[in-house]
Amino acid sequence: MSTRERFLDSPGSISTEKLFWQPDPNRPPVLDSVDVSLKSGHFYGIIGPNGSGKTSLIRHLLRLIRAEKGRVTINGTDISEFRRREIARLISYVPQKVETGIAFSVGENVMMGRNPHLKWFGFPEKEDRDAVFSAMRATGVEDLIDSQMSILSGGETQRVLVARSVAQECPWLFLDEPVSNLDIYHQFAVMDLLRDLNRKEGKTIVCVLHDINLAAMYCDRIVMMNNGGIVADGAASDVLRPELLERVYNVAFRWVEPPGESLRLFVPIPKPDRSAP
Amino acid sequence: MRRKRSPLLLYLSLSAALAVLIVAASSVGAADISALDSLHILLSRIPFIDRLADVSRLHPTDFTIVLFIRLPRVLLSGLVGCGLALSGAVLQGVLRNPLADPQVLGISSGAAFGAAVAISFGLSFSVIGIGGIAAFAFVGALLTMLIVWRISFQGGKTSVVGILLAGISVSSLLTAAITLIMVMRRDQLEKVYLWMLGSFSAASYLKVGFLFVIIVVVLALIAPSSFSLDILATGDDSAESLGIEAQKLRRRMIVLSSLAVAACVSVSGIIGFVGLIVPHIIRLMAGSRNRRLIPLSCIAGAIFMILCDTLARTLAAPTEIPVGAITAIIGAPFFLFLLWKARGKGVRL
Repeated sequence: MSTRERFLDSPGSISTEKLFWQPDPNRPPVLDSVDVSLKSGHFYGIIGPNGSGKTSLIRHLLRLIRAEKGRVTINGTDISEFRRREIARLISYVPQKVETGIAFSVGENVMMGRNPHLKWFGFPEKEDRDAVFSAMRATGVEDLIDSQMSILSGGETQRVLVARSVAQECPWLFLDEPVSNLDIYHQFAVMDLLRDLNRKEGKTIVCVLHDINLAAMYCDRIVMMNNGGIVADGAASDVLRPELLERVYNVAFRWVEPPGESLRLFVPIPKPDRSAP
Repeated sequence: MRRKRSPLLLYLSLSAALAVLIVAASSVGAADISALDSLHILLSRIPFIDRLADVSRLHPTDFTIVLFIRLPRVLLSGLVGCGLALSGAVLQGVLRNPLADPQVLGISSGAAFGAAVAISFGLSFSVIGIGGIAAFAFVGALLTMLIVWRISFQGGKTSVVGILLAGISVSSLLTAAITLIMVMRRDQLEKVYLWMLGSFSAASYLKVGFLFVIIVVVLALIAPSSFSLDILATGDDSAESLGIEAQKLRRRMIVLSSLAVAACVSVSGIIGFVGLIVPHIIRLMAGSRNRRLIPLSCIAGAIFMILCDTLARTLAAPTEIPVGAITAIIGAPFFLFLLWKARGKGVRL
């Protein structure tokens, strides 16, 4: 089967086999024998403490880092057999930040999401402009269209990057902490948008999150990482348990259920204040 | 705000200004030929318009001066300005550094080193009209490019900072070598120094043709990547996730713009500031999109250089001021003014 046919056959899974990455030989590996298989149709949350390997895993899944030991496969085919443009039509990526040293406007930046779909010389057509405008409306950044990226707040920048990713119109969306700089309203707005994309358009969402409650509210599957390995991988309700969180984060957790809401929230419990008299 | 303004007006006005400037610059000079007569001579060579020109009373030497001394010089300076501004615009984007210019990769120093070697060893031979100095300068620039290339692209991924540091180091080393040559061959010191300051006094149609071919080829290979270059400026991860082979694209662009710089420097010497400031002026006027930035920088670079060279040869005529000095005298204060104006406005150059 040619690469093209394989590609048109929209992928059911993106997996890693014994993925190992140790960029600095004097430090422990960033990824240590990671086996994970992401299946299409889900809303994945990737959680874990700082430095647990979440971003490195995502960057391998997009071939932003080439696997040196172990491998990454899309539908069973090694990711190195795909052209970059093919991957870009399959998976869009919201990085934690982009460079803004050379000033582009918000509209120009969101249009970049259309790159893998553009034809000769990259001139946008009507469908490209339509996709850009609807993505900007969906993320609430349409009023910023002519603003320079370099003057945006952290939260606005994140929403523009989500808009760019939505405009890319891929069956899979990878997002690296897309809501870390957002206020509570916009956190829900972005997560609601992702849930809509997942439920209504059947897109697969893979989202690195620090907020365990957001993960519990929106994700149906959770991949929990620690020290470069997978600690737990399964249904959100199975993985998100106080004892497991406590072990991974080294912080005590309790469940609380706000009266009148069908919600169960995790509350981290601080260690007792030893300096108190 | 920047999007709304149509770039068409900018294209038209800059192109018109360039056309007028080419004619005007060819009409002024040290020789005692009136601007009107020069204009008639130029018009007499343009098909269809030649009937308007009345050249019956003009002396043949006037034709020679205008058509074979001034015009090639104007065209050559325009092409050099175009090439330097083009590579400045591209390098600033791919190195993600607003301070990058054609000198930052050490290519100019390589050309200067080649020229210094040729001058100090008296290699002023001439092969099919291209002098030994220009040939050595071109080879020196290309060799430097290869050295910087080897150093900065060892192994797989290289950081942008690595490329910049390699360029600056090689450049310093070559500058030191040139200083040594100048000290050892004091008799040629003035000649080397003047070459390094830049001049178009040795312009010929052969050089014009050589540079024209190289710049057209380079431009034709860079232009289709305009949008990819925009995306590359947002970071390597970001660009790769959008389907661009970031490393490959950066290498190709560095080689192409280096080639243009090597060709420019070898015919003109080192002319600073054009490659640095022209793209920034265009960014302030038309935004950072390479699809506009690259062609507009080419036109504006040509205008700026023709203007500077015309001043260089007429201000103190018959003495010629090195054109590199003029570009810096006009360019530096103008650039400082732009920096001062942009300060604190959130507008990044």
